[in-house]
Amino acid sequence: MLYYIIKRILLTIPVLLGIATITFILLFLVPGDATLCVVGERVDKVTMELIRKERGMDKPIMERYINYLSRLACLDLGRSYSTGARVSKAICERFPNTLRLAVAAMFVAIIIGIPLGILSAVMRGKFVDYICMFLAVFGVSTPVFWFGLLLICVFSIYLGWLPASGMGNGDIQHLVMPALTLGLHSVAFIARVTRSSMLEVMGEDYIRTARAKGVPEYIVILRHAMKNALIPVITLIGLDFGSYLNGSVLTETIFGWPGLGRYAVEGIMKRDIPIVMGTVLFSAAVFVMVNLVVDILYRFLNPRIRV
Amino acid sequence: MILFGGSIVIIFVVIAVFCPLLSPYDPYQVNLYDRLQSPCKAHLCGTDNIGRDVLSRIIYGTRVSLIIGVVATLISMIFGLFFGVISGYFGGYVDKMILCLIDIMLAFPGLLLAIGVAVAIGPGLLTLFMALSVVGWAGFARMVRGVVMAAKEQVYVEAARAIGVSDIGIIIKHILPNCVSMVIVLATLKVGSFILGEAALSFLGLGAQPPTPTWGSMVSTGFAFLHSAPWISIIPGLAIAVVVIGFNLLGDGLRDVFDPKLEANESRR
Repeated sequence: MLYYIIKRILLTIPVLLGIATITFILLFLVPGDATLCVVGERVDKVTMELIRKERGMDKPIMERYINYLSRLACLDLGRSYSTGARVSKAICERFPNTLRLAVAAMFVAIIIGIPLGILSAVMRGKFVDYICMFLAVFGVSTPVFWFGLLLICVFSIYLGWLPASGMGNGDIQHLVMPALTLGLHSVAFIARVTRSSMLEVMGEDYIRTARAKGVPEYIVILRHAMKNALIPVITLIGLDFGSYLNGSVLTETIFGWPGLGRYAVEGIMKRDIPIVMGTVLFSAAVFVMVNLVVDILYRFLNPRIRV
Repeated sequence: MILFGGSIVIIFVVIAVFCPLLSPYDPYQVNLYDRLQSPCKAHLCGTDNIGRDVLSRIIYGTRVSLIIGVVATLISMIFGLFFGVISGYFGGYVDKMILCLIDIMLAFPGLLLAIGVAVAIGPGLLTLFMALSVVGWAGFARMVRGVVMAAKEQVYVEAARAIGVSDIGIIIKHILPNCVSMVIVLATLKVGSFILGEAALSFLGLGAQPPTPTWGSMVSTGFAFLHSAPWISIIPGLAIAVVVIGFNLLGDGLRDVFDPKLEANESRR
């Protein structure tokens, strides 16, 4: 088991290096030199050369790559072109907000998605099953930003129940709609996965035995089927974390949530390359780490492959 | 499911092809007297902030979204097939390199990588194709690689090699046909997710630039007018949802047809 954990951690290193390399390539691809993003287009050649020397953009590509990697090793993601503030510091300030939203969304997704999936599996082939699965397809197909706008329209503008934007004091009123929006794709995904996992488990022999023994159906479902069905679901919930990183970009923009996604969008609007690339790199690294943890957890939770 | 999803897709394809005939107004025509009109007889979906008819822009937007979705899927599919086949068939060092590259590409959350590419290259239609393809090819490649590795071990491949058929011949005649069904299913599902991706990138201003009508940019424009004119955002978003539902249902239906494992479970019951 320990051997597997070490092997897995070692395998993560080339992936992290690859992510950094791809981000560097993207940085390098910016047309017209990143200098233009710093000083604007109406600049004379002399100033441009000065800026290039100052930022080390006149050096050969391999040297810039090595510098880039060594800065990353010190967790330095550069400085914003527009504010001059350190990108890593800004990310550290905003990431907890995104994390809070992601956890809330995951919570919402679990308490809605799993019962939906179980209900759908138990009532397979009936009307309820079709409704649940249609809701699941709807959830996966709906654009996240549109759903958020819809919620704002209904609950803030017409009904006036919930605040339309902002994080407030971290109270639950501000959290509800963003969490629902971010969790929408997850709800649908979890419902579908729970359904297929339950169906697979319910076809097993031990379920048939329990029923033959005369165990009431609800105990068969809750005690026997659900526990086994949920093992793969739990790990898939962890892997779905990537969708929160994606969705946070749009959700935070709509709800004015001061998180990582909104920071990235601000960078996009200002064409502030270090902010955008720093956020992309950080999110990818977080995603890799989460996958690593989930992978190890899955091995640990599933007694069949633990030994 | 195939019928329902397929009919939605066909309806939207027809709309995209015949949009000049179906659209009641010119989608680029600005009419400041009629701005922010709510849905009425003259404008079935209302007008936007500079008086352009929303329904016409949605109809023309169908063309943009479908073209981007389909073309990006085709590009991803071609690259995915290429790398997947090479990786799966030749194995060894090449396989390890390509697999490493696939893992790295899949390590990025999709939308964020697309945003990174779009910001690096600059906004525009071409950027959309490139950004979405860069994100999408890895999924195809990984799936194709799995299928190719299984197909490579079949007896008929060994027999073909024994009678002297070249590698390319084996790949084209024997390996590729195995991939067709899974590729079709994955491609159908990918079109849906690329349409969502395109909408998201347009929403952020990284896609096709104004005045080109795209659903994502329409939702984004309407955001500022949510209080007074919610139809500018809501109706294009609904169009996105319906199209993607259509493609997802179609893809799910095709998967149910093509996936033998599912069929075996069905017959067991």
